[in-house]
Amino acid sequence: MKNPFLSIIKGVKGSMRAIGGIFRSKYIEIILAVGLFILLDSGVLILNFYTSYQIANDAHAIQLASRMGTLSQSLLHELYQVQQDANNQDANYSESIDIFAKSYRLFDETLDAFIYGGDLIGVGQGQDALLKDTAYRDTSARVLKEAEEIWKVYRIKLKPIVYAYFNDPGREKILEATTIAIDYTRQQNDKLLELMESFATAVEGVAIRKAERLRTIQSIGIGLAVINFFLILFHFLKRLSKSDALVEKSRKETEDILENVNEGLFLLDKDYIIGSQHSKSLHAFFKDDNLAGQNFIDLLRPLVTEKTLDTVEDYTEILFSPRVNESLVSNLNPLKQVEINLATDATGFDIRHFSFQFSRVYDTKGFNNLLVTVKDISEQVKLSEQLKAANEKASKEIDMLLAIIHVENNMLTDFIRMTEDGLNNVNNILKKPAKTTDSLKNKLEMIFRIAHKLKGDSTMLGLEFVEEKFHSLEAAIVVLKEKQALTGEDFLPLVVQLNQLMSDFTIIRNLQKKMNAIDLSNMQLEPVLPVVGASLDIAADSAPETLWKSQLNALVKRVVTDYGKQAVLDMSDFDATLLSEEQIEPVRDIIVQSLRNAIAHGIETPESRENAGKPSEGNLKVKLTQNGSSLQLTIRDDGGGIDIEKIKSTALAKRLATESQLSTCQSASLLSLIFRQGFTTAQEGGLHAGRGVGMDLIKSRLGSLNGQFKVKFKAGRFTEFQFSFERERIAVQL
Amino acid sequence: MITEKDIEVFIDGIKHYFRTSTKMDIVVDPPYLISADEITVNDYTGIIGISGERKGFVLVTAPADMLRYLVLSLGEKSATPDLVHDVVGEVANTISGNARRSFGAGFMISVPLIVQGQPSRIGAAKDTNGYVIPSRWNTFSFHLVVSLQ
Repeated sequence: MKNPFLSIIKGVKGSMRAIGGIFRSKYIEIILAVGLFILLDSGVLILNFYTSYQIANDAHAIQLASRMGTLSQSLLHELYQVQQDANNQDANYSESIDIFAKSYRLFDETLDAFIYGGDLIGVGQGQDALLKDTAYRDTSARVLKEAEEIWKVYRIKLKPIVYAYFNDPGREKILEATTIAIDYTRQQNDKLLELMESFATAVEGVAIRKAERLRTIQSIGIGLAVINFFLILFHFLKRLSKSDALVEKSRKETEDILENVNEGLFLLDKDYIIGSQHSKSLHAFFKDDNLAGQNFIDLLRPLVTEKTLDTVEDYTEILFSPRVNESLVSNLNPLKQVEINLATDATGFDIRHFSFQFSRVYDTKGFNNLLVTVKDISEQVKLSEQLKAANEKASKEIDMLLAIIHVENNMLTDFIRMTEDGLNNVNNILKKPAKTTDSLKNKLEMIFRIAHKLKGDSTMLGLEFVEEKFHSLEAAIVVLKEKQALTGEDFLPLVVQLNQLMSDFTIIRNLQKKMNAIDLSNMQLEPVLPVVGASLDIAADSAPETLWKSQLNALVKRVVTDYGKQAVLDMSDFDATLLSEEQIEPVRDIIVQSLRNAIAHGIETPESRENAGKPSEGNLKVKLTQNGSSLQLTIRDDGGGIDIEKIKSTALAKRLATESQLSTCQSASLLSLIFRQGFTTAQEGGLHAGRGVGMDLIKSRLGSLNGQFKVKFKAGRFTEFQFSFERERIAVQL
Repeated sequence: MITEKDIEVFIDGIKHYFRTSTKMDIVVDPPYLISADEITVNDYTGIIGISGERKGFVLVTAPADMLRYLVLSLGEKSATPDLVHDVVGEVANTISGNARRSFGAGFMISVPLIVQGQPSRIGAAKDTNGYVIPSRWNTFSFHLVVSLQ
């Protein structure tokens, strides 16, 4: 239990400290000045009391002194009355003696009191009077002495009459005493009256002097009080005015700082309330003119993500915790870059980035506030993000540059154009309304064909990263193709991949533009780049045959490597000049798809070939010759030929024909199956074949050339595709 | 870049609205891409701004006929312009609410802005293609457009 005395002692000590504090404070002067003022005022007041007491006494003394003159006259008059009553045998003299005795006693006592001091009972207005003041006798000692001398004889002469009041000696005796007394009194009466009047005047003089003196003292007191008051007034007014000026100056400086500082400054208390003094910038930062008294968390809530808000709450809570070292947590400030989403009247947000710095504000009792400094770092963040994006873009562009630099410029231009056209076609196919499953499937087939063609083009140019993306797109299409019921939403993965491809090709196109702007002919480039098949020197010789050969050689090398096979391409009888501009692309597609199929399905592995007594390296031959008005494209491989049994089993597995139908089917009919979309004898889809779209694409491209085809093969020996189509007139530019 | 899952969140939001409000599922047609300057809208459009870890917008745009029919099918006696306006807000709010739940604390989803006719400005990023998700409800066609960086 608490000791109550300790509490009291503590309380007293606290009060003493508080008082001591006050006296040590800047208020000591005003306290002393006011104390002095009160002291002077009290002195004047006490003097007033004393003066009024003195005036009352003096008035009394004056009254008594004046009365003594009257009494001296009364005594003579009353003596005559006693004498008259004593002479008249019928008169009763006791009454007149009584009156005389009273006057005698009054005079006697009063004179005695004036000379020696003492009480006078029943004087004035029935009140006792005490004549102690020696000032009267001091100033009129001679008068009083003379009066006393006269009065002493008076006493002797008058005493028989006064005694008659107590013991009547008889009429005769009284008459005798009265006659003696009257004689003496008549002699001394004027003298005594003169003395008494003189005394009364002296008393009055004493009273007047005393009153003057008191008035002077009082005036001095009041004067001092007034001087003190004005001293207080002027001194402290001056000080107050000076202090006010300082406060005003300080306020103005603070206001100027808060008005003009670029940073947002405010105090935050433990309840997250924003202080009333804050910088003007803060209003602009938060687009809010009434921030004082607002809850900081509520202010941020609509402007930042929930995650950021949690961070703000957690961090400020840590900062308000007195046990946590401020410098330690300051270094960990997670709010150095906060994304602020200010609402706009249009859609979206006005996104700004603010940096928040918190520091504790200490006073004698510890800290209750945080000083928050807010900076708008949007421009820095924007620049930093732009730099980051530029770096990422540059890095991506370098990767892409390394991937595409080996491709001859014209070929790359064609490839970019064709691919972007193809991708736009895919988007247009998607855009066309399709409500039934069949129309959706048809959409899918069309997209698949484009993807496969573009993949082939990438392979031909050795653009592996593009090839892989198209392969991935194909894979997504294959998944959808296998679905029984197809919905529009199922196309979403394709669209996402399409978007990625479009974005990549925008970069490639821009990159090529930049490359074209650089004069590469003056640059000494070493062929250290990961060139697949083609080399930079092809740029120097861009004759059509050379381009075709180098592209297709690159394709063959790439595909045989992927399949672990070996093959060489023979294009000695290939005359590219026979083709018109319009025929180039479909013919290239047919060759690319045919070569990929030949390597995938025809050419055997080196081991198999050696076992079969063939050279380990396969032979692929591509011929383009003119036969009258038509052109003949031949693609031949010395591989294992077409496996008819495999076609049959695939057709059965895919339920394209029954066993009995297959048993009666001619080889030509069976071969037509390989041109059906989705038909493949491969166990699983590879990068170059196995998805049953290559032959379908060949058929489609041949259709665009209005051509025909023939297939020849011999099991274990060769396969040969012959495509024939009309030769178009080639416009010659002069 | 935006993923299928991101887009599905918005599709699910709109599906959820029609399923719960009208007891009738919407049919989603194959989506396609659209560049920022190609975006066109129908009679009424609800636009939601998105910020935070991803930035962009989502809009749902529909013909007035569909929205009037929707208002009536929700039990209103007449399809006043105010009710039509409100119903677009409801659709946008449902999409917005679904997005809030799915995307979590790292995202900011704005209050939907409802516009009749062509919006003065859509905060589309220049280099970002938008995903158009054509959809059908009843006999009406409407579109959801998702454009996120």
